[in-house]
Amino acid sequence: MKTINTILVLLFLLSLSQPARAQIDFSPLDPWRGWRPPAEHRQPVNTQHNNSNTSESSTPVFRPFTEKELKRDRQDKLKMEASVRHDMDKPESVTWSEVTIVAGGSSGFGNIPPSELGAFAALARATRRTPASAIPTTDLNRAFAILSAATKADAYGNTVSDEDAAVLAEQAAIAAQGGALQVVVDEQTRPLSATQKQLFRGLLEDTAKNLQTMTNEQQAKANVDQKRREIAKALEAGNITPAKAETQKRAVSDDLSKAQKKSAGAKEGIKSVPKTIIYILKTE
Amino acid sequence: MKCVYAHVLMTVFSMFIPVPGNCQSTTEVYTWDQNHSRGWAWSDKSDEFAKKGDSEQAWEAEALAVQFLPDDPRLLRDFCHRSFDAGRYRDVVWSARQIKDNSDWMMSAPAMVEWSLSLGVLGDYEQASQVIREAIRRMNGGTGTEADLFPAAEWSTYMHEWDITFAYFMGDFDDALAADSNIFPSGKAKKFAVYGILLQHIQEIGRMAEKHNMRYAALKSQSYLNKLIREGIEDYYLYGYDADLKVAGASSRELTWKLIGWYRSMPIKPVPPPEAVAEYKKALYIIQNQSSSGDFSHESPWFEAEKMLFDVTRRVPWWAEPHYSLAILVKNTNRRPSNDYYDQSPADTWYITAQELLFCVGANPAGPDSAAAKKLLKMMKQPIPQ
Repeated sequence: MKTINTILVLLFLLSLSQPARAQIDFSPLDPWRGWRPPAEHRQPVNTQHNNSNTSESSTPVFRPFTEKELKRDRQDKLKMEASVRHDMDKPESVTWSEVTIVAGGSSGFGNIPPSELGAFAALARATRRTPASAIPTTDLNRAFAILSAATKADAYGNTVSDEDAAVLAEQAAIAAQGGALQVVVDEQTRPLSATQKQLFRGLLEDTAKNLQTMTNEQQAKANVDQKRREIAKALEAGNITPAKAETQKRAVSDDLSKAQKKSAGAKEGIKSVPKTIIYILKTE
Repeated sequence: MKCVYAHVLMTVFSMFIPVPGNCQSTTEVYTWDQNHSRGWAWSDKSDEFAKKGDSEQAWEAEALAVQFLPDDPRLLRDFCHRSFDAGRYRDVVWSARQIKDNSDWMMSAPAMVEWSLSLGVLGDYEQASQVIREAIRRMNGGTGTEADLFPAAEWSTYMHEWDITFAYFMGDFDDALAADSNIFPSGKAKKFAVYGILLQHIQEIGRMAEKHNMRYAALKSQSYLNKLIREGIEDYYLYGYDADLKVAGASSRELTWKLIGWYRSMPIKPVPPPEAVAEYKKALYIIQNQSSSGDFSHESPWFEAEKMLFDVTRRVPWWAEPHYSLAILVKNTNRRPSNDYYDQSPADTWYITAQELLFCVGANPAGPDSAAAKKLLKMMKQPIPQ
């Protein structure tokens, strides 16, 4: 009795020492799964067994396949192939592009706050190239769908980071120009209403104008020092009077000052793009 | 929130610094000399922040400096470093390009490495590889200023390791092996060394993206990590590393689920990479148009198709359809692939089928194959991912 108990305890301990079962419990599948031993351990299907006790007779005796077996084998193979082909996806169902797309090369300074253009820099640049009125409705819907996703929190309450917003803005810019995207957009789920379209086109036009204003400021900045040097040179050469030089200097400063004032407004306009998108989203 | 906080601090700071405020809000007209002194004042302030370890404010101050002096290569180079430290990888790329285009003589080894790594984090592996190779070229053949800015001894190994990493991103493990010129011993030891480098560096790229909540970039690089780990387990690279292999096997499946979770949380989903799409379509074409030859010998077209499907699920674990196709192929052919499958060695048909169906439904519960996959999982008495 004691020996039996010892054996039982040992068996119990042995079962504990077995490695933990894999992540998924597949035991209910055992009857279904059709497990077969690896091919090398399987008895060849076309062997005959002789049950006599001679050592010679225990060796499998091979015989050629019968015509019937070959036919059945071919049928099984065709059946298996047909079932795979029927159940599996077809090549034509895969519609993603096989061509590598390099996104616009718009990486760079000015894409993320506190830089002037913010995360929507790529969009601003694209709108300057393509007038908002020339963007087809489908492309407009796609661009807006991407931008609205970039401005609001996802289903888990996470807001989109600056970097991800920049990625999405790049894609929106590509969408607005009718290019191939690297993101999936289902623009049919909620197409823009007529009012939303009008507002969105207006936003794109304003963004393009704002970017132009900011470019003008950069140009004015580049010119101001050169003009001042020219005035100083003219004054030194005696070509202009000191009073006139002062007037010209003031005029140059005024021009730049005006450009900077306009640009400050433009920068604010571009910064408010996300807010405007949220406003358009809420508009019916 | 952090960004807003930084802005408030910067605004307060701008009231005390001996330059007239933030250049973004001012409408005053400055001369070149004034811009020069203001630019360098912000740059000095950036240094102070950097010394205190405040990389975010250091970057912001340097950004202001660059706005005053956009053409100064020294400021641009500092901005490149500050942007890298602050995880502003797009700005690293911008500043490095500015230096390269306008004042190439100021380009240094650290700036080029940061440039290359930033491109890597942003997912532009081809350009990243080109930049690192150019850095290696300058390091090996540098003369005059270049020799000072590209000190071979300090950077050689590091640059070569990244070159190997980007070669893997653009190709496969054999390309990574080929990219290693002479720094590692040959044979099996070389495979182990290169595998170790890839594992470490791809994880690093992913961490850099993840740290700054760059989900699109992180998904891309971590998908390569998924591929690498599974290749290591299921193919030949890690023979002999049995203990590590099992650990990696467990983490590999967790990584797959993690990537599927990321993918599902994205507001706009990325499309699968083109090379994976091409491979998947090729596999489907073979299945539809060529005979299985009745077996899965190495010459069988279906064996090739199965290999491709495994590869696509490794490369793009968050793409639902290839998981389903692989499950169907394995189930209907009753295959027992000779290599390992996660922690299964050798893997059972039913196990692969169920796991791939679970990944399919998990990645896209409303996808085109999802209904069929759910039906099969129900038959297999498996929980259906929601």
